[in-house]
Amino acid sequence: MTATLPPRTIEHATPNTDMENLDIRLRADASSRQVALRAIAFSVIWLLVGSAFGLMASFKLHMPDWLVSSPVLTFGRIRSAHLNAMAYGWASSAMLGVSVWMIPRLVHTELRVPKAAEAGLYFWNIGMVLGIVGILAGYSDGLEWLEMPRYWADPFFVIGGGLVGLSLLSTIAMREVEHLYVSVWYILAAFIWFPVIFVIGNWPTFSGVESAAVNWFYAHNALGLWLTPVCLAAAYYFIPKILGRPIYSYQLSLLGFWTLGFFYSLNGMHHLIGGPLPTWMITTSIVASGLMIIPVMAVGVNQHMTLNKRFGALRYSPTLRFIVFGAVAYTLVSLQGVFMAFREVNRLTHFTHVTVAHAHLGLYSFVTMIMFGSIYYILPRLLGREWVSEKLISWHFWTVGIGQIVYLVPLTVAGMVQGVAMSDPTSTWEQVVKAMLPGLIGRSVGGTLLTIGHCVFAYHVYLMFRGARPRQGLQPFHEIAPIITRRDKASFVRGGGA
Amino acid sequence: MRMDMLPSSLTVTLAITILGLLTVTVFFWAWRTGQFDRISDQALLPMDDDDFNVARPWESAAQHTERIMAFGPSQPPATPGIWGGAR
Repeated sequence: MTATLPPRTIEHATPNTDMENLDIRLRADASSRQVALRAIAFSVIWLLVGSAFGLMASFKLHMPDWLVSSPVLTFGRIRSAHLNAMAYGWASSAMLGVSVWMIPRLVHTELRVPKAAEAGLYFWNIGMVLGIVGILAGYSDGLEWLEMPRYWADPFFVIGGGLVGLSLLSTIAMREVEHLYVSVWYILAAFIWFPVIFVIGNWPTFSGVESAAVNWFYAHNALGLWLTPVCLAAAYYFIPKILGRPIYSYQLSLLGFWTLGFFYSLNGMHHLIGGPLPTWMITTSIVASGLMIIPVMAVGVNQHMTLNKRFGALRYSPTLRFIVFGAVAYTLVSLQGVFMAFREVNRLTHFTHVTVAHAHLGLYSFVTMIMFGSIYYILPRLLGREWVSEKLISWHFWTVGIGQIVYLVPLTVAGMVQGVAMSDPTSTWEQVVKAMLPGLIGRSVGGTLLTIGHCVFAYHVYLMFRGARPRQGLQPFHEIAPIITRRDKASFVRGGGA
Repeated sequence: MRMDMLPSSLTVTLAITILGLLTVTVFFWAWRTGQFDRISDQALLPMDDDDFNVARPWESAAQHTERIMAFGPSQPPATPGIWGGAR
């Protein structure tokens, strides 16, 4: 392990390669440009749609008579539409774009079969539209994280994800570097794991207890083996790039990746503690949840030590600000998840708003913040111009940053109060609901701040797509630090170097 | 083994086994193809020259000196935009 900058060695000095490498890099960026831009555009639209549903659902919890005249706007439909729009529309579309942009850069070749990736993106988003319309029309599958209609929408996700995966796997197979950087490992694994869990989760033959078990196998792995790997891939790429120093310990990064792969898939059954499942199955899941401390600490320590004594960088780089926020949230949500898997804690938190807060700490504070940071880095390079307004970036960061605190803290406290009250046989249901009310109102205030931040971000992205340029005359990222003279990696090029 | 422990858990047990075997297979493929060789050097894979030799305004004097020693004279950022212009 080393925290110092790596020395240049003689093997890195490979004259006459700079222009070749620059050319490779520019072609890599150009090959992914169209798909990545469209993915970002789609993701921002779903961010706004999902925010609107989320805000409505939140207000309905303390204003139950609001918008009840139409079945479309009832809580059960709006809440499911919110979850699916955010998880599959916003986060997954953004992840598709970030993956498609990052992989060609990391393997030094052009994106292969980009038309397939582009078609996959359209399939994915057609599935999203059909799925959300289906949920709002009342055709939910009734399974957590799998509410979108199985036969209308899900085939589009299978085809769409498969086509993007085909493009990415082809690109990795045709790579010009011998070794796979840890970010490539994470993305590669995510695109192998997700089809497996998605097909199993949607298999139509399960019922009863078995259906619940398969449901939580899918739902937990959707976060840990789909959303998490791509976001960690982004963190492992952007933090070193911005700081100008490699990650603290590459060994630790690999330890984190492989232990995630080996331990995570066993975790999901802790959602069914107390359910009619074999005790050994739940206990195995609890033990595996405890083992998650290894990958979580590996990632957390590595990213902290890479950033150590350079926290001033957060003032300069919006990408770093969002991504470090997300990386810290990853550590927090994972450790919280470990403790919530223990029976003694789960007995209090199960069926309470603590679980809702925990899910938002994961899907928002970790996943969404890292996707925001990634888009702040990628979009100027794809469009060739700097972000239009520093103030809009600051407004975005502070509204969503404060919004998360206002959202998560009251909701977690309310959930604990709820858990204690529900454990008390003398408490009536009305008393439990009244005890939660301040937390639910806090959640709506926090959700409003988050939505304001999303509107600011979407407006800024819109300005970028429209071609607006900053007034201060800032130059685009790509003219200054693009890229690529890859002399330091010559030895990793296939057929070249040492 | 009691067979009555299987009905509600068989599918998930098989699903987790499939995922585990996939991961194990890829792990051994990675091992056999040398993906774990020269591990520390692999940390440099995403880095470019510009990532190393452009001065970082947040670095201390000691960190700046360390960078110069390792990569030669640093280039000042040509414009504030290089860090996102969002100070």
